[in-house]
Amino acid sequence: MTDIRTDMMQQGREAHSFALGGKGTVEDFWALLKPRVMSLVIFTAICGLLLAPGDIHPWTAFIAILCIAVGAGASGALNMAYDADIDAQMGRTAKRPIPRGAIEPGEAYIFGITLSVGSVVVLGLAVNWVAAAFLAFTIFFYAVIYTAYLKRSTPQNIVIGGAAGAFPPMIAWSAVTGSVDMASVSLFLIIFMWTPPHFWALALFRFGDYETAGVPMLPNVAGVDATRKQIWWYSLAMAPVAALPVVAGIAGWVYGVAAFALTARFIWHAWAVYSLREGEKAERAPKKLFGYSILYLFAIFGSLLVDRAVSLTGWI
Amino acid sequence: MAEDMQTYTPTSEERARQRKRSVVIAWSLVALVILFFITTMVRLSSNISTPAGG
Repeated sequence: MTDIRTDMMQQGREAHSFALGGKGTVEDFWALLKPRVMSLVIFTAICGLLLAPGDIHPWTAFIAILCIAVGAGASGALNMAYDADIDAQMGRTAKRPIPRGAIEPGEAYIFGITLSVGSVVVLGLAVNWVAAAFLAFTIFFYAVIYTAYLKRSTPQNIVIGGAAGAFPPMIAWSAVTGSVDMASVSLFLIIFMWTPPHFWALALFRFGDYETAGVPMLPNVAGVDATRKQIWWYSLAMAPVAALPVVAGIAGWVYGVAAFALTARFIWHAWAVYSLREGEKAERAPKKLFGYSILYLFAIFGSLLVDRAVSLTGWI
Repeated sequence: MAEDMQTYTPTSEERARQRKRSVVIAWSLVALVILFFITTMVRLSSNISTPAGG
């Protein structure tokens, strides 16, 4: 009798948890925001903010970066809510809060939507509505266009979807200027062109994961060799794009030299991925490119800041 | 079953998690109040220093 009652209590507990959630810790909800992605978003947004012409009150600048960061985190939560089925099948993502059973998808949706609306409204009220509209579009693009449609339907998913990750410096720029111009587009293009080789390098050494989950990443659809070729071409195309801030007049030769060296190294890694086809070195090449690509993005935006600091202080 | 759900009492671990979440939500609301207050002061002061039409 006691066993039956205990069993019923357990069933009731599970049913309650299923219906209402409420099991997640604060750390689980923090993980929903994809903090590592958020750190890259914050950094590139700060760069956009500092490079934009015009003045912005430091407090307003802080609010703008906070809203962009929260908006990016909200997109991550909505992404994880929708992709819980895929995440559960891949080793890299199986321990995320939703597939682990710590947070219910419904909780993540409410969390993500609340933060999305909050970040957009606060950005609009405290900074300007151009930046707010841009942030709203970015969240929509990532959560709906990329997550709900592109990711599961085309091997070009991260090429088009990469735009969502490339918008933050433009949003920050529009927070200062209230508009969009060619110089801010050059910052967008750097991240936009960087995204495919970055994710395809990951897809090359996580090939099995995406295959199991049925996500049509390029290596699974077009093959590993075709992906290597695409990585190579995209990496070459990054060279002129990396020079655009100089052409647009927001960077000088300090950035130019750094961008040349950093991009040359990127192309060198991409060539290794393209040319090495067998053996241990061939297996390591995509991992090296993936690791370097993260460093590259931080470094290239960091060099934009150094360039600006040098020109402001008049050292050179 | 329905009766069990109605009389459901969270475990001590669930209570602890709930308490921690509540504390974080409370602090977030306090932070929002401070954020709105400072933002209002900043905007007011900039409006005073550059009045409309001035």
